Formats: sequence, structure tokens, C-alpha cells
Amino acid sequence: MATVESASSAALAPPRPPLNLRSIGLQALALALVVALGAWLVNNATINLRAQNIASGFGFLGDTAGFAISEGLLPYEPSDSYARAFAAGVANTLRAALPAVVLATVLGFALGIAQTSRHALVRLLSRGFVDLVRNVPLLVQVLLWYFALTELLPGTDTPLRLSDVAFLSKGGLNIAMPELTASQAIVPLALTILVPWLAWVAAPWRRITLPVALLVVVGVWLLWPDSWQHPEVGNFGVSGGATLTPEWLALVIALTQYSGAYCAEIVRAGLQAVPRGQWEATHALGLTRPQALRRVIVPQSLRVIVPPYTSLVMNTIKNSSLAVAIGYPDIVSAATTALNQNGQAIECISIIAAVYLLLNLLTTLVMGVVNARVQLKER
Amino acid sequence: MAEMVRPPVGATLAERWRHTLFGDKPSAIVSTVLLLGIAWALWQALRWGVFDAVVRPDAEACRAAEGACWGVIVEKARLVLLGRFPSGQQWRPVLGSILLLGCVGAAAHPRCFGRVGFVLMVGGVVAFGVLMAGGVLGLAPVGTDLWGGLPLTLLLAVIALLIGVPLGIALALGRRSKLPAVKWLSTTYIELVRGLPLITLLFFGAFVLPLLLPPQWRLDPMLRIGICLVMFAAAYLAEVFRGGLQAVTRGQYEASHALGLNKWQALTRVVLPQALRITIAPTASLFIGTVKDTTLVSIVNVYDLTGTLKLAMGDAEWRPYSVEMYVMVSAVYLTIGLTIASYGRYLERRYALK
Amino acid sequence: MNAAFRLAAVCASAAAVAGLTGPVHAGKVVDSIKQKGAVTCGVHTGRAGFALADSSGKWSGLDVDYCRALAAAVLGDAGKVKYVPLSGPTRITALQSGEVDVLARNTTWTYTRDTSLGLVWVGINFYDGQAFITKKKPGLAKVAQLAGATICVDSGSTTEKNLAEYFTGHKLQYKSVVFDQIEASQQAFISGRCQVYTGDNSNLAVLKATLLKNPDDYVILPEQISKEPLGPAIHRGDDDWFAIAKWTLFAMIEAEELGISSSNIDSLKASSSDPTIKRFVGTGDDLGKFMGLDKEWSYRIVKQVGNYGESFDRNVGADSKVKLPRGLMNLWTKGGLMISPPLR
Repeated sequence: MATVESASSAALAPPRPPLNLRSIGLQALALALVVALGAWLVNNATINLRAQNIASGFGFLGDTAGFAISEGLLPYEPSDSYARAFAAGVANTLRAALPAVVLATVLGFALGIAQTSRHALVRLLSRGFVDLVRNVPLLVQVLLWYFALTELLPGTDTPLRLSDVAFLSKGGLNIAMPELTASQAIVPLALTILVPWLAWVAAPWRRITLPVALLVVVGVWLLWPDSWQHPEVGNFGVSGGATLTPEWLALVIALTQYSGAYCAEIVRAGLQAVPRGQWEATHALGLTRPQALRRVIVPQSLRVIVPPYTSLVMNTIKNSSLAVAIGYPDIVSAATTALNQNGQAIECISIIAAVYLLLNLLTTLVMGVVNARVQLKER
Repeated sequence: MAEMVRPPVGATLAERWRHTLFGDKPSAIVSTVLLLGIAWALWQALRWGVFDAVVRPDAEACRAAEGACWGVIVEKARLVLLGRFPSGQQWRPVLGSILLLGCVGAAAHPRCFGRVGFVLMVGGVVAFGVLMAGGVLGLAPVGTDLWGGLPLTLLLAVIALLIGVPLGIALALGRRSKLPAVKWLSTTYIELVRGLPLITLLFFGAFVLPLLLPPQWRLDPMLRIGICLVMFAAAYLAEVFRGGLQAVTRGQYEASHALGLNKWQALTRVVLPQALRITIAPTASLFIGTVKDTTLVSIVNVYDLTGTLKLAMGDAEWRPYSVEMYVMVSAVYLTIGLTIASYGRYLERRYALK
Repeated sequence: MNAAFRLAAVCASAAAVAGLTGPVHAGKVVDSIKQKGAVTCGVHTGRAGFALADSSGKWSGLDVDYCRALAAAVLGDAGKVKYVPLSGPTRITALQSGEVDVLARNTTWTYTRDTSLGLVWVGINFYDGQAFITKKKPGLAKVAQLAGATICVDSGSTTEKNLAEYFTGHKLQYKSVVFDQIEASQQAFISGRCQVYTGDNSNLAVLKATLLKNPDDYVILPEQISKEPLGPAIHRGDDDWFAIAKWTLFAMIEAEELGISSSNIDSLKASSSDPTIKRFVGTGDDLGKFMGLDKEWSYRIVKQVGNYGESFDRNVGADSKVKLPRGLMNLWTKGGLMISPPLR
């Protein structure tokens, strides 16, 4: 009995395919070539580095940097180490790229929705803007904005003033800042998180509570601090307050308009992907156009928008590297300065590459979560 | 018998426009505001650009005038468009660009797709290179550091795409290959290059590449830049072509095998033409993107059109009128972009499935 | 089947190309110069007085004259020079990689550069120092008064580090705007983005003389915060080339000390009986053979290029737009620092 069963089960099992020696051989050859190429490059690099007396390795990260980074959220002195200089550079990259992404999204949605408007002029104008901005290179736009800001704004000794709260000059935009120590800032911060959360939770009255919460938060930040640091015109231009330099302004404005134009195209494609029947259904239900967009069309279009939007976010972060052309001290600028000072080109360029690849990875992960949330929930 | 009811006659153009713009109250308000705004903007632009403008290359007159100083274009056009090429030899870049554009234009005609087009493009690039570099045929040699302006932008863009497209197709095929090693290598290359900004690659080419090669291979800086642009373009093109290849159904492969075509013939005669047709639009926008990316070489001291613009703006006398120069350069890039975009649309229409 | 063979063919050819590296020979710079027929000289992208190309492509400047002197000494013709304009960040790597034979580009001779980068300086052809230029203000005379200013500075040079060290060492606040390209930083200063620009004194003098619309509104503060001895540099490891490069510079200085100039060298050659001068002009003992050159190497340098004083005067001195005083660049016999070991 057993032998018959085993014989029949043996006969039923499919035969194992023979090893494809040709493909294995080819792959081994390809890998061997790549490894050989890599070894040759490393060998050349070792010879060259030794001949030129350049150090190797990342030990230089502990040395004193010796160059200044004049703006940024991370406090940095020229006597700090290279590692801290690079960290300040990364902080500056994010400080330019993230506001640009947020503003570009807003601009993109506005323009994209404008392109589906009934109004022919609105469609025409937004189409014209998008076509214009997409076809001019970003570097030219950045340089043009930088030129406009540094040539056409008033000199640093005679800024445009908005009472003593905001000063606009060639040195940038100086805004009055509250002077708060860490302990003093706890209460306003806590309220900033707590009040909107409470307003959100009170769902039935959200329409009223959210604007009120916004007013409360703004009021708290305006009234809580005892002392404010006002910008003033000194010996050498405007100082004091929070400064938004022309470099930052030019970069963020140019990035916003460029990425906003691309976002507008993505949003337009997403809105057009929603079937016409949805629009007709909203008309049948008597929804106004803003209601239809907000509750029916845009949520469905997000499914089509999010994947290209992910690459738009990554492209914006990568495009922020153009900062080096106008003197904004981001990570590329910091790393190339370090490169000039100690000659370790391979290490510095790999640090830049690692930073951007890491930012790419983070973006992909975050947008992956967002993408999952906007998928069709099929039952 | 009842009168046959005729269909309503379509409104004239003027009536349609009036209905669209002023049909109901909100539309009317928006239209009025927009039209007033457009009229005001146009008036200001005309006043600045035409009525108060100065066309003579006279810095004094420009300073005195309130309008645009188009004289700066007359004064600086040669420097911006042709770069620092020695002034006696400037007919060479001009002739080279015309030849190159002619060859590209001829190769772009669908009749010349295939081997003829490829030969034309390569011929155009070689002729351009010979004219620019000199050294043969009695032409005085001109080093690559003196090449610049619009001819250089065109050369870099054409070379990046000429080599980038076949390389991109190869990478796309590699990424879709069944051999795990080849697939892994292609994927690594594509994801690595796509994750980096082009500036990083250009700095890599400028600073790291000389260290990775034997000391006696002293690669010309222009060649290094060209290699980086090719690498960058190939990675992005690979992704677009991969999308196209994915869209070609398995049935096409199976049918070609059934007809007795081997893998290579199936690929070149059946699959790739279909894949390329599907990807015309994204490929066209990548071509435009490559032309725009050539501007970044001005950061590594290669004087393409943007680099010569910055060079021309170094003149203190003419610097206040940079906006006019930027307008001119933007117009050049716009023209190139719109040409490629409309060519892409023409190809799409021509090869659309009926 | 076909695809596999094609793949193998591509791989094989790639391997063949990769294998064509050839032997790594210790490149003798003089041999390669003679083979190429020109001295490849790394110079500034465009700095009036040191290295600037006019619209027909002809280069002139103090560093350009040094390159021409090298070509005259080694190849016999001062015109056989290939100029490679280099920006601040790329100049060191260009010399390290061998892209240029000599770097004559206002590069400061410092300890770290001389020891850790694989380069060696052949001498000093300009004594400079880091200074500041700003708009004239009443009572503004010292660097310490610049506290709080926005300062434009070029990247890739000792300038940035000196600035940081001086200002933090003296506990002065400042904001810096750093640009990769010199034109960009100068433009930012001229447009008013920064109130102060810092760089080598000679650079500031050129800027004031040639680029500013109203030069009299600006002042270069007399205080210099660093010493910047500028000189040509070559790749370390080639002693023959080092000797030639060094003594070319010394020959120009020695010629001025001996009173030999391009205008009187021919008459001195015909009529002088002083053995020192005879050695110099090539009618006396043959000194060039120790460096692998002929006996007229120094004659050609002064005849075709001129002595150091002539080069200085026509490029950055009294006969130029910049009009810098000789100062430290004068001969040691006249109170300056230029001295050459005797050519004997």
C-alpha cells in the first residue's frame, strides 16, 4: 500500500528545473566586472591620495571647522567642529526646503483647482503661469530673485519699516522676536498644542472652535512674552530680531514658485482623473463648487496625486542644493567649504550624498504612510 | 404639418465669450477684476518695455531713462550668447550650432527615425566638436575652457540625451531583467543617482573623479561634466522607459516568440517601439528638464548660457540692468522648452493609436 | 543565445578598456612640457593685474608674466603657455591632479598647504595681507569698528578662516555671506548686500580701481589682519622642475638687482665685461646646464618678459590702473623684501 502511494506521489511531483548555467555564468561575469572596476577605482584613489599627501577617513570631523555659517537654527561658531558645521548645514537645508514644500503645495493646489475652473480667464492665467515657470530653469529663477532682492530693495541703512515690527532691506527681512527663555516658553508651547487639539476633538462645533483656537494661540504668543527684541538700524544696517536673509528669501520664493507650478500640474491631473460622474452627482445633490471640491473631488483625487507628489517633495529637497549658487549656507555649501580646506573630496562628497539619500528615504517612508491612507478602501 | 424645429444655432464667438466671462454675477465680478488687472499690468509692461525703453547701448541714456534698457542686450549679447570664444573665431560656434540644430531637426523628422537619424545626430555632434575645438583642417585650436554660451548649452544637452537615451533603455531593461545580479546592479545605480541632486554629481565629477582615475588620464573638465550629465539623464530616462516597458502586455512578447523572433528582435522590433510611443510625453518633459539642468554647470565654472550671463553681469556699468538680460535668457530657454513640448505633442498625435 | 553573446562581448570589451591603464610612470614635468610644447599654467579666472584675459584672449598680469618666464626658460618662447583659469575651490585639486604644471594664482604660502596637500611653493612674488573695504564713514579707521557688519567673503581661501579667527579671537560679532565664486561675492558687496568685503589687499585695490562706480565713496582700511605671501606652487616630488621654477622667479628678481631690463639686455650682452652680468646674459659660464637648460635661459626670461620691476610696474604698479606702491615688493637694497640668492 505504502509503496504504491509513494510511487504515485513521486510521479505527481513536478521535476526540478535544471540549473541555468548560462545565466549564472553571465551574472557571475557581470558581478566580477563590477567588483574589478570597483577595485581598480579604489586602487587609483589610494595611489592618488598618497601621492598628493591627503588624509583619508572621517577623522577630520572632530577638527575645528574655522569657517562661519551665518544663519540657521542650530547655534554654531567657527570654533566648533566640522561635524557640527555639517549638522548646521543640514538644518539649513531643511529650513529652506520644508517651508518651500508647504508653500508650494498650497500654491499648487490653488493653481490646480484654478485650472479646472469654469472661468476661462482664470484657467488661462493659471495655465500661462504654470507654463512660464516650468520652462525657465530653476537656477535662472533663483538668480533673478536674488538679484531683485539685493539690487532693488532699499539699502541696509534706510530700510522699509512696518512700525518697529518688521524691517525690509537688502540685508533681509528682520522681524521682532519675543525674548523667551526655555522655561518661559513652556506655557505658550503647551497651549499651542493643547488648545487646537481640544478644538479638533470637539467635532460637532469644529467650524467655530478651530478659528477661535487659532486666535487664542496667536494671542498667547503675542501677549505672553514680557520683552521683545526689536530690530533697529545700527552702524552697519539692521540688526536684531529674527532675520530672514535675502539668500533664504530668494531660495524659498523661487523653490515655491517652481515646485508650485509642478504641483499644479500634478493636482490638475489628479482632479481630471476623478470620473465626470462624481461632478454630476455633486450637482445633483445641490453641493456648491467649494463643497463639491472639498468633500468629494479632492479626497478622491489624492489617490492619483500622492505618488507624483512624493517625487515632487524629493525634487524640491534636492533642488534646495542650488543654495550654493547664491551663498546660502546649506549642507552642500558647508561640505564644499570643508573640502576646499582639507582636500578630502571623497569623504565630503559622500557626506553630501548620504544626507540626501537619507532625506529621500525619510520622505519615501512618510509619503508611503500618506499614500496608504488615501488608497481606495475596497471591501 | 408641423414646422420642423431646427436645432438652436450656435452662438458666435463674441457671444460665447460674453457668456463665459459675464454669465452670472460672481463670474462677472471676477472677470472685471482680472481684466482690469491684466490691462494695468500690460500697460505697465508696455510703458517699461517699449515706450520709456532705451535701445541704444548707451549707459548714460539708460541711467537717465525710466524704462527698460534694451541696450544692454545689444552691448552684451555677444558675450552672453557665445561666451569667451576668441572674437576672431566666433563664426565657428555660430556655424557649429546651426549645423547641430539642423542635424537634430532632421533627425527629429519621423522619416529619419532609426539608423539615419542616429548617424545624423552623431555627425552633427562631431562636426560641432571639430568646429569648436579646432586643431584640424586649419582651424586654430581653442581650449574647452573658452567654450561657452548657447552653443555649449546645446552641445551638453544633445550629448547628454544622445548617450543617455540608449543608456537609459539599457538600464531599464537591466532593471526588468530576470537575472538577479543584473537587476540588482541596475536598480542600485538608478536609485542612487536619482536620489542625489545634480550638483552633488557635478561636484563629484569635478573633485572626486580625478582622484579615482589614474593620474595620467587627465580628463578634460568638460568631459567630466559631460559624463556626469549623461549619468544623471540616463537614470531618470531609465525610470520613464521602465514604465513604458511595463505597459506593454505580455501578450506582445508571447506573440513575437510565436512568430519566431528571438529575444533581441522581439525587443527592438515589437516591444520598444510600443514602449517608446507610450512614454513620449514624460520623455519630452525629461528632455526639457535636461536642457534646464545644463544651467547647473555654471556652478562648477563652466560658462554655459547662465554662466556667461553671470559673467556679463559682472560689468559694474551694466549691472543695474540685469533684469533685461535675465528676460532675454529666459526667453531663450522658454523657446527651447516650448519647441520640445510642441514636438512631443506632434509625435504623440502622429503615433496615437486610432 | 544572441543576447548572451552580446552581453559577453560588451563585458569583454569593457574589461579590455579597463585593462589599458598602462604603467604608472613618475611623470617628469619638464619632459611632459617639452613633449606638449607648452607650459600649462593655472591662473586666476580674471583678476586685473595678476591674470586677466582681454577680449581677444590675450592674457596679462604678474602671474601671467611668471608663466611666460617659465616658458621662455624651458621652451625658448614666452608665448608657449596654455592658461587654465581656476576658481578658488578648484585650484588646489587642479594642481594635485596634475591638470596644470604650475599654479600661479595668488595662492598664499601657508604651513598646512606646503606640508599636507602634496604641493610645494617655489617662492614669493607678492607680499599681501588681508584687508577690508567698506563705505567711508566718519571716524571709521580700525577693523574692530566693523563689529556687527555683514561681510562678504570668498569660499575656498585662507580669507574665510582668517576672518573667523580674527573676529572670534577679538570677540567681535559679524555676519558673513560666503560665495563660491569671486564675482558673486564682489557683486554682493557692490550691490550693498554686505557692508564690508574682505580679501587680499591687492584684490581690494583692483576692485576699488576697476569695479566700483564711485571709488571715492569707499575706503580700504589700512589695518591688515594677516600676512599673505603669494607665490607660485608646483606638485611635490619633482626636484628638477622645482629647481627650474624656483630659479626662474629668482632670475627675474636678480635681473632687477643687477640693473638688467628688457630694454638694455641686448646692449649689455654686446658690451658688458662684468662676469656676473655675462653669466646672466649667456656669454659667460654656462649655468643653465645644471638645470637641464641652455646657457641663455635667463637671457630669454628678461628679454621676452622683463625683470621683476618691469613686470610689477606694468601690471600692478605705476604703469597700471591699480597703481600699487612697491612697498614690500621692492628690492632688499631699497627697503623691500625681494632678494634672490646670487646666480653663481
